[in-house]
Amino acid sequence: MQQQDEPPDDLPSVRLLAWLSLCALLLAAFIGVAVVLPAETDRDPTGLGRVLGIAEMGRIKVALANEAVAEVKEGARAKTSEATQLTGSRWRDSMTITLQPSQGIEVKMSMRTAETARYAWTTDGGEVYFNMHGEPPNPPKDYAAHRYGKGTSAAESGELVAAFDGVHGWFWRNRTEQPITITLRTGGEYLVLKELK
Amino acid sequence: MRSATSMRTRALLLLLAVALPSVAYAHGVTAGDKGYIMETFGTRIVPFMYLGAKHMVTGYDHLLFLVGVIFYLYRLKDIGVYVTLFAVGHSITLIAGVLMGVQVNAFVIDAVIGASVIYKALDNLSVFSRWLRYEPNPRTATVVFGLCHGLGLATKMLDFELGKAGLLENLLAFNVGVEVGQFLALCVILIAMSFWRRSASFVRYATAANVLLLMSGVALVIYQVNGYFTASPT
Repeated sequence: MQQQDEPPDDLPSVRLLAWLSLCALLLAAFIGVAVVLPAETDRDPTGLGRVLGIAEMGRIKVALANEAVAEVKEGARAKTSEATQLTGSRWRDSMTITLQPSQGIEVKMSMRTAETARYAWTTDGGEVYFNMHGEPPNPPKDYAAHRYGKGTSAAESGELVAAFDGVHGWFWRNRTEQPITITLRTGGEYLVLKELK
Repeated sequence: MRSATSMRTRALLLLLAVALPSVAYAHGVTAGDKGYIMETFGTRIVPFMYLGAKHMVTGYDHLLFLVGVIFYLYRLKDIGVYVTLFAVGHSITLIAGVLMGVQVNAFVIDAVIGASVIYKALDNLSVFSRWLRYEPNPRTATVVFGLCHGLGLATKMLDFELGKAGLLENLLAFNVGVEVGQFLALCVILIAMSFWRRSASFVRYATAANVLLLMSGVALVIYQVNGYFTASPT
């Protein structure tokens, strides 16, 4: 890198600089509307955010912000753990997972389209973040998982109807300061239940 | 004339002191970005590119360093050399740091970035060549600061608690995003600097501007060192 204190004679002309400024301004406006807006908020006026796969980011950010506001409003909403039946012949598999603080895990069932699985899970007390979703085998690079539901809970149960051939299940993350143990039971139509590494 | 310059310098310093705390969060992980990464998984090329670019465009300390670097660089070729060397440096430590899980205290890294602003300002003021016998090789310095900055990026990435799925792809996308962000920031700084270089005030105030840059670097270092001792890093 050559360094000289005096500017050389061949500096770019004001005309060129003005033109470059205009280009930069237009580019900045485009990036702002087409990329930053969808990535930071739930708005995507050009539709490019969805194509690029960043509109999801804005959606999640807005959802998280709303959740944070809702949590403050409701106070520490203590969700009583639902009396979920965790025994009996309804269930084929059970799994017990202990999550350390801020650890996440994925457990999925491989299912065919329209197969119906039953599930119930509870924690040993605290609430965990859960994201119930599915994805096809070998999803494309920017595949946004099919969502069945998400939230923060100490117990959930219900039926999962596979939207397509693939793996369907849960992502859990322990956002508390203490370890949390999750007990999952599953039954119904699916091939195998397993933890994804 | 001299007193007018120092008045202006003082006014700008005051402005900087007021502005600093409010932009202090610019370098940290925003709750939204982190939340997004924690709640998604798998390969996400464009989002990670976006996050990398966002980090560079909103990182005021790095932008100050860029101003210092191109202050006396008039030719695109020279800027290209700088960008390449810096990119090589930070790519090595970013990728190796994340894959090996090397996490450095964010305050320490940001203090080093502040020190890089000081170095560049002193270099522009010809302190090394005029007053000291030793002048650091600017290319080596660029690579070294690139390596430091990469470690800072790696620490930030590890802070995102990335899943294993698609880790390398996301990492590379983030690295490319850093380059894109740096390029965009450089374009804006370069256009602004080019306008200024055409006016007579450039030669007149060049020294004052670099003294201001030096002060900003000192302020950054003090701010980060203070943070290291008072705040608990997350």
